[in-house]
Amino acid sequence: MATCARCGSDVPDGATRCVACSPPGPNSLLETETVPGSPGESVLLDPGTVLAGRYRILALAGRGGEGEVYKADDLKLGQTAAVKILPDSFRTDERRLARLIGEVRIARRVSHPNVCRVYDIVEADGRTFLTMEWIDGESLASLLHRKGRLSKDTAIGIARQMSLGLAAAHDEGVLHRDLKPGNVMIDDRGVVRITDFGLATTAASVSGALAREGTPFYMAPEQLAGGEVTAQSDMYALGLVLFEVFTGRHAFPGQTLEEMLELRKSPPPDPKSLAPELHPAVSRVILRCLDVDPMRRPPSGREVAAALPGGARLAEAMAVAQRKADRISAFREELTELRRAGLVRLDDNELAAVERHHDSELRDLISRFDVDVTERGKQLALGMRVVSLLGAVALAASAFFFFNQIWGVISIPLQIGILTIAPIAALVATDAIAKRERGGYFTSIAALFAFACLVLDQILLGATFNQTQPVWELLAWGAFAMVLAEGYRLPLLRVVGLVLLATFVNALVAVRAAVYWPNFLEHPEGLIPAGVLLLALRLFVARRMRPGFAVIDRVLGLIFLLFPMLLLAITGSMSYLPFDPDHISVGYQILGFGVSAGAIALGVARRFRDSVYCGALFFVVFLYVKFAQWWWDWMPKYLFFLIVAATAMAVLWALKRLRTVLRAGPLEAES
Amino acid sequence: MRPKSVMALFGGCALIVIVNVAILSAAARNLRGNRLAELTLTERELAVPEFREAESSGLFLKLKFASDPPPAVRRIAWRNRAELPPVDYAWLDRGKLEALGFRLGTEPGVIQRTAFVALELDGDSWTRWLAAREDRLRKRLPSTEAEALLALDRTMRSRLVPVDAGRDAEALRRRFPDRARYLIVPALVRALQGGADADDLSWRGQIAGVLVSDLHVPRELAPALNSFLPQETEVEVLKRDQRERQLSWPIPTPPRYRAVVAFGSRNEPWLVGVSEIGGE
Repeated sequence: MATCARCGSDVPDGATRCVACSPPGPNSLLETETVPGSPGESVLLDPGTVLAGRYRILALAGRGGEGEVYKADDLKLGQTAAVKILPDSFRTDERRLARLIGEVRIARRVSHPNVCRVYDIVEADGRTFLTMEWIDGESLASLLHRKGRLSKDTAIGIARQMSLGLAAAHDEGVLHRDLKPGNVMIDDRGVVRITDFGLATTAASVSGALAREGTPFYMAPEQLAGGEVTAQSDMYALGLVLFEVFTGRHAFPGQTLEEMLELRKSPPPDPKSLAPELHPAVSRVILRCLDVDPMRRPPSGREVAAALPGGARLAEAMAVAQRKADRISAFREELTELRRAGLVRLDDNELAAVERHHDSELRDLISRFDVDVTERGKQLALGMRVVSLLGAVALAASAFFFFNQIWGVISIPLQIGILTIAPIAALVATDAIAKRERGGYFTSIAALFAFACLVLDQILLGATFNQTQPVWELLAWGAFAMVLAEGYRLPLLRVVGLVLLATFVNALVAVRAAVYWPNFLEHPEGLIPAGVLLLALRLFVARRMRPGFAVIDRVLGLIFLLFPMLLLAITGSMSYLPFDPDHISVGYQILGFGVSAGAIALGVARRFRDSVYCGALFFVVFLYVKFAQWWWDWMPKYLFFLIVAATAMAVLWALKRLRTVLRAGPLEAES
Repeated sequence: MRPKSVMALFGGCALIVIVNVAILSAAARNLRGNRLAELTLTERELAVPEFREAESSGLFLKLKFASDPPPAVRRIAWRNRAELPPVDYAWLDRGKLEALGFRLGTEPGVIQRTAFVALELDGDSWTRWLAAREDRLRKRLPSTEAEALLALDRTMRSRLVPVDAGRDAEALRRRFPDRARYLIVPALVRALQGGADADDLSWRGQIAGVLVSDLHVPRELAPALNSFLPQETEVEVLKRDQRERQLSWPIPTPPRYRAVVAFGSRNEPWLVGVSEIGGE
């Protein structure tokens, strides 16, 4: 049992804050103990005070290591901002102020949804203050204080966002050096933002007195010892925060610097021993972050995010990396233009330093994420995707023809052996390639080949034993494609798998009606339940699973739903329903309009761009079908097509209006 | 190793194994269970491929019934526009089609459903089918052409004739218990409306084909068929055909081999033996 340094109450071993005196908020005793410097040099501001003629103070929001944070109105822009008043020592210490200005400059470079944006540093009215994005929410410290331990899903969400935010800062060469629950804010929508880059620096590493700045409780051993502080020290702090998020306890319950340093020389307890239900992947990645050897910690927050359960977000990490590479390319092009126009003058040394820095970053991104650093490179990547698809098809065809060639000369047991082993071998090869490759091109070829081998296996074994093609083959093929898509993040196989599974549902319906199931286009009604099932799963049950596949799922779900409706609206006699075909046709026309409009409404409400497009496309097609049924026979053709053209323009106008509305509130297809 | 890829690796392997076990156990059940039929057919009913497959070493025999023209006739009949549409089966009328599940008048013009079909080998139905065919040929074609086709029918056309269809294989077997003369096979039945006469709006049925029409020839039986296999590929035959304006009808050739086919408990066939006719 330890004793609280503030009120003298007993603090249980491992507890991160004194329950007796530590109020909710980012001002826990141990957390805010920043060395050196202490708050208290400034005087509290009254609500209504206007700073620099622009920022009207509304309320005190908290006290950090280097000043108080206020909620304020930005009178010029008419929005809420956070104002951090810095201690007077900043004004008197020019070096310190210069350093802070440098820090603000670098903090502004970090632009990421999980990093709090710093706007400016202002010196006015005898005060020096920072203005920042105001986050309406709660600090992680307060949340942990309030709840103790967080639920699994909440904890994973927070951990992932923190990791990606930290990765974005590191991408810009910014070290945080003071990452702790008090510097992590969670807004009303659950979006996490890392705040307070007050101690941030751009140097790849810092040492000496600077290294000891921060909050000892969340310091890496090398930082506590005054040694070199690098991005890996931030990773250690991340590990400590994650330990607390997932277990509700601090990894090292030391009270003094010496104790903390001593405890950090050995590994922390396994988080799983404190929270037995913890996913082993979480436990592993936390322990990696808390490795004494900085070199053995995860190299980036993205790796931590990718290692968390609920979907390895490597694709997301790759997208972030690609955006970073794009920014560097754009910067280089713009810099060339600005230099040509004489607006920017950099001497050769400065230019070379920037080039070297960017080259080094790009090399790192290429090696870790296989990003494309030029527009041509991106086009090439698309070409590589197409080539990998063609390669896979060609490889499958090669296997088919090879087997065709040797089939008659080998015995049936050997045929069975080859046909069974081929897909297994291809699957093992896929797995081996996936582990070595980041771009996924060869993985895609190998996976499609494995899929083709299974299809070949079933078809040829069926032919060897003269079997009728069973319906469940579709289920097996679809399931196999889905397993491959899920395991190796292959969108094409996801499409193949979903189409096969939908066809299976359609075939089941056909079999029940004694219809020959391979003629499924003659009776497409069975696709409707498949579409309903897929959309229900994606929208209500598995909303967060594999977000990268969400667009595929939604678009295919809508196609499975609307395409058969369109066919049945044209030819009601395709239906299984025992009603008059004309009535069925009219029923499906009404249903088709309703579902199309529903898809558009869903897209607008949930910001699914794909859903809006799909719904709009089918709505227009349904409209044209209806026009054709009404007017094709009796209306002069020129008039008919004039009406069709006018309708197209009306729809365009409506969509344009919709787009304007959506632009006002950003419409990004949730992925 | 990432958990998702581990799942894909082991889940995928498990799926492959399950699929293969399912296929092989179904094959084993079919082979080991009761034989639902065992018939001795000839080249007329089980034809070798029409063309040589240049890049395939596998061999299949095609199960044909009376409405399929013999392979040697089909191509020439098409070129000479001489082969007539198949003879309709009187028993496959509107009532039978509705009993098979067709909702006539509410479904599209041409629709197909699966059903079990009883095929009779060289029985009364074959005699009646041939008589009906003879009648049609003599009415519609010049006599020389009709005679040539009839000669081909009598010696080369399959003598398997569909005699009934139903949704229950066992009920059909009870109606046709002779396992050496009747096959009960899953097939595709097609319903069509209208005939040659424009005013004819009656419904009629056709057997579009059996679901398993290609019988695999195991490696040990293939040598017995080697001497009957075609020597020319499809491309070579088509090139040869293009050189001639009018193709002459082939000389009727009696069947050269017979094959014993068994149908297992799952109604799936396999080739039991092949022998040359007159060679034993």
